[in-house]
Amino acid sequence: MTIHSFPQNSPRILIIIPCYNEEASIAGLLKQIQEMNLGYDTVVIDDGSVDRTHEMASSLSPCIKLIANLGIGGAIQTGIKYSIENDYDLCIQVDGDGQHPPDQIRMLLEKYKASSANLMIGSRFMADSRFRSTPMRRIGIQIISKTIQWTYRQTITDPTSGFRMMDRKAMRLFSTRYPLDYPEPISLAIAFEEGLVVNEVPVLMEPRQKGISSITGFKTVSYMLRVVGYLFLIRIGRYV
Amino acid sequence: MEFQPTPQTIIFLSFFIVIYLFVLLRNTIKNTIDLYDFLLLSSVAIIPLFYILTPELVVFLARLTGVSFSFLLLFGSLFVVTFIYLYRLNIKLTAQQKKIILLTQEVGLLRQALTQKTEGQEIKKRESES
Repeated sequence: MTIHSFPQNSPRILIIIPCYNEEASIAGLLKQIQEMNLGYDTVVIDDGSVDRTHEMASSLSPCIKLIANLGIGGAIQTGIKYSIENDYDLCIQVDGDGQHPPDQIRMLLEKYKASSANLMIGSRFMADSRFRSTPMRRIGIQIISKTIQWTYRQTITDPTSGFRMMDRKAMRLFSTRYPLDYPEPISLAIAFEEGLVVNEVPVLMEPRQKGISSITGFKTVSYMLRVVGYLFLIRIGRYV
Repeated sequence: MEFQPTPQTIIFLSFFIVIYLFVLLRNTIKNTIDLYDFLLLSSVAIIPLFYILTPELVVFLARLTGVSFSFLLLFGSLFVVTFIYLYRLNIKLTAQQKKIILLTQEVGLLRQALTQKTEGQEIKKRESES
């Protein structure tokens, strides 16, 4: 097993925070990260917000304003490109809605340092989590998880988690190939296809602080079907 | 199986073909439509033209393919052309979407790089002044 090491044991780490209309929570999240004094840089990707997100974020952190809403995949990929351009060793994706407590970042880094993983996922379902979701969602996540297990022989308990850390190898891959819609589970399939090592670490997540999720009701079923479809497509892609 | 276009059919189709091809040709000359799309779109006029000019050939083709009503062949051919056109459109749209995403990301990254550079220069300026 490869154990990751960095010069002076201090990798350059970037926290990527994608957000869309998060004026109510973005400043709080950035202040929380700054107060923790972890020594990590942050970049906010404002995905074409129509509220004051850019204004709020740019006073506390570098903020990339996208002129059109690209969706979560496009926003994350922008952050990955930014981290490559600025020569970061690792980047961590943290949602702008406050669901991912910054104090859990250390868990990702510690597990990463002791593993051979290229992509480390913060799992809501490995530990006794405060996180609660609807039964429909949990069923959907289970089905996606089983599909990954069946197609790639890999056990991922939380394939839809947006709380993840990636190294240079994963960054290079995702800077050129990252799904626009439902990127978390589909990017896992891409990672497995390209031979990346993916690990999980239990983390505690908070319920969404402000706003509502975009995946509710019938969209949950549609999300699950599309993701499962894409997982199979990527899997058979090697034979076509 | 006999198929002979009536004078009304010939007049109606000729009228349609002339106007349709004229509009297409004008748009192709103006570069609104590319040449390959012009060929695909013009088949909507060219395929019925066969029905007027060579009804014997149409009957022969219908017999060959086992189609009992020769006009089914016409609609079938038009469907095939339509789907080829849709397929091409889909590929073009996806390529355009990828380009737009790439451009949007690049604009954002460049703007941020420019802001960082400007801020850096301002800091240096203030330091040299003090």
